[in-house]
Amino acid sequence: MTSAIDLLMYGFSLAIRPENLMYAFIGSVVGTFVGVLPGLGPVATIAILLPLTYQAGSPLGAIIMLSAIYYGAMYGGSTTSILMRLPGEAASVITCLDGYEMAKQGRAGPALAIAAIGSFVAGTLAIIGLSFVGPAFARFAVDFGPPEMFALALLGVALCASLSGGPPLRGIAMALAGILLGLVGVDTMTGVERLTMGSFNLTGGIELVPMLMGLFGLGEVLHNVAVRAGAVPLTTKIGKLMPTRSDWRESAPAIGRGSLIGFLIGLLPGGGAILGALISYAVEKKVSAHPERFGKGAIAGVAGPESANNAAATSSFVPLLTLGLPGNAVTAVLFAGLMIQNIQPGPLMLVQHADIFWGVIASMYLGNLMLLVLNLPLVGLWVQLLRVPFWLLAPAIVMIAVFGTYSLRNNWFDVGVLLVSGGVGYLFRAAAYEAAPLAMAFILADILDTSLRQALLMGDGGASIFFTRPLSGTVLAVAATVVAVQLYSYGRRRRRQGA
Amino acid sequence: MKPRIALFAAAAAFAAAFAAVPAHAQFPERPITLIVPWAPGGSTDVSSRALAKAAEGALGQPVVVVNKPGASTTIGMADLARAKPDGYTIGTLSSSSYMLKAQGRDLPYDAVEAFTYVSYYGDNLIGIAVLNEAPWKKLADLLAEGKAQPGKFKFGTAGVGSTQHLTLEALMLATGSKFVHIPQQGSAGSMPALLGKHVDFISEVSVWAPFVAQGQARLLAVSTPKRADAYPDVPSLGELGFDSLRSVQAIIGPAGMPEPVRQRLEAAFRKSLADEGFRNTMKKLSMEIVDLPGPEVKKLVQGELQRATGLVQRMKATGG
Repeated sequence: MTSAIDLLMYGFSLAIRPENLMYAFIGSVVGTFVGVLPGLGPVATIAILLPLTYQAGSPLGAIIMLSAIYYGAMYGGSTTSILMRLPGEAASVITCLDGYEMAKQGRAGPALAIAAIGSFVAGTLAIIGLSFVGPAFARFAVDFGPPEMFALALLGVALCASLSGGPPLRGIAMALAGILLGLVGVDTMTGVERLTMGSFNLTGGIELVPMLMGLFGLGEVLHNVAVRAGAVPLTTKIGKLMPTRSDWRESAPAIGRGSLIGFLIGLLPGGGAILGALISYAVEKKVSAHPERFGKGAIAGVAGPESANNAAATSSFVPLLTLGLPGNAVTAVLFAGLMIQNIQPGPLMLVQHADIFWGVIASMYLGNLMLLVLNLPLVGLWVQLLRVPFWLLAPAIVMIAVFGTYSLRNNWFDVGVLLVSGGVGYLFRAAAYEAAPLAMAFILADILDTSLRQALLMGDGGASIFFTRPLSGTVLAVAATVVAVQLYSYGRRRRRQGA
Repeated sequence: MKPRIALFAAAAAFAAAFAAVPAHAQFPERPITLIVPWAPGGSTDVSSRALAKAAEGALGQPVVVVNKPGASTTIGMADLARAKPDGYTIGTLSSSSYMLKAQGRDLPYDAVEAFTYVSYYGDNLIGIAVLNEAPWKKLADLLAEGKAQPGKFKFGTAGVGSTQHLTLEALMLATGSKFVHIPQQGSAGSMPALLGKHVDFISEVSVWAPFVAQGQARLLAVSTPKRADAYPDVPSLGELGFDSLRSVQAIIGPAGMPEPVRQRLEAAFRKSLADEGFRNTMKKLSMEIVDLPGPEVKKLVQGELQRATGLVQRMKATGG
């Protein structure tokens, strides 16, 4: 352990060099903006800035900057989710649920502040994990194969129902619709087109980000237009900026749990920040003394998921740096960046490039601090956006969504997906169907489908592989318990209501 | 603040994508758009960007890379096929684009004839890799095992119908050995599957490179026609007497490009193959630089498509 501390100190000695501090700062600022602007994602930004790593005198500075863009984006992603119900990053979609409700009640300030502070705490805890126990946990990530991923995705689907406040049947219906939509496109296992209805553009599936921005952001704008712009929550009072004492009491444990959940999920290949946020939300709702407040502006519903997505972003560096395995699109781009510098990520990186390894980790501590200092004062600025009149804000949201969508893949079809999703999102809103279970199931469908069939191929066609592997069996048992508890508590509620 | 920033960014993007002002003097007199049909960050994207940068010098105009990913490159390729064949819109061809045709998929463009062929620039190196602790020392050992215990061993690739997958199917057809294919979601998924022992070996582009360098994984063969410069000890499928498919990387444009324009582009891009920065990038990505004139590229693509189509038909006939 002492040697790890010595090495970390060595990393700090590199990270506090003026040029490296500057790279961390630039990365944090760029990352915050990437997070705030919907559609502009960290993957594309990092890829476009990747050539900088060719020129930088030392590769360390470039890698520090690119990493900071990624975790910085997780800070900024909550901003538009809270203010406009427009997820700035896909991972912030859960934050729309309670964050936006808080904003409507004039509590945008506390929501933004708790998101920033939760991100800071979770980011820092995850870096501590990355510094000291990362390599040990990395092995566990590789053992997580298709049967385990399937079990985890199934658990995710089971948790989806808890995202909707209404009757479970609505949540289940929305989750099933999400799975169906997620299966559109060419089947990765056979190459056959599914549910494309002959549309060439659908062979690649429905793009996630335009769908999310449509369902949540545009749907909300249309809903506000429909209920008559005068009564629009977007122009409500701003209220206090900082969380109250009772906000803190509710948030602190949520941040702790969110950090741990996010850290573990982020280690998994393909797990990612969204799944971490979803599980954290479901856990918070389960342990809360007031589960009925979730979906109506519960601060723990912001604190937990925002902490989880930040912890997951940081812990996804563990498999990259210690095993050389990029688990998501962002770390894959960073992997390419390291390779181009002749640095081979993996076990030997600790030996051959200790300066990069520890320098980047140390810079993450500093970058997180910079992000907190940067984001807390911004809270005051962002809430001023709520003063912008609706007739001005609504077209701006639509335009941001359209440009953001187009810039993703330079594809007009995606803009069509955005607009259609906006219409559908409005209908859901009008009929009081929560869109979140659909969105989550959509994301999980791909993992569910692929890992189920990969696992069946691995098990020579038999399903016993799911139960005989300890990890997979355990997660499946948890999923079964979740479903049983949900059914039981729903049944009890109905009996009590004398139905 | 925000709308203004977004507008500005969007305006810049539009300016880059549709820089207009048509004229007829010396080609090129305005920036050229290079469509990369993959998401940013992959080997085709990174190598295309390095080549585009090198070609800017020879062309005297910026070459702007625009990523149009989706549906295994077909979305970007469909856009390229529809573009005006004036030389100002070109793109990167990967074997994936025509491999889909071999699988019998309907594409909204002709996989070969919809394009003008400018030049070749390289081959992705496909290797058959096992963990270092695996018992097989040579490709023949693995193939013998697949014959002795058909269906027992599993392999991973980027996906069904990929060059990586068909390369292995060709080996199975040629030798009568049988392995179970477990498609991963893209090349990035294959290495974790191998390390976690969820598959027994992989047929993949250079994702194995760091692990081979560190002694955790071993290459049994590479797919290039000759041995790869970076791996002189690893036999090529060609020298072992097996048919192999190439993982093509070429520069193409829409069909009907005027020949003088095509030649100007060809000269510039082939000259850029000597560029130091490009060569370094290719080396680091474990890609082999290959120089071929445009008309040869077309013949090569036709031949590859024919071979892949034959392979898929034989696979279907044997129930594979």
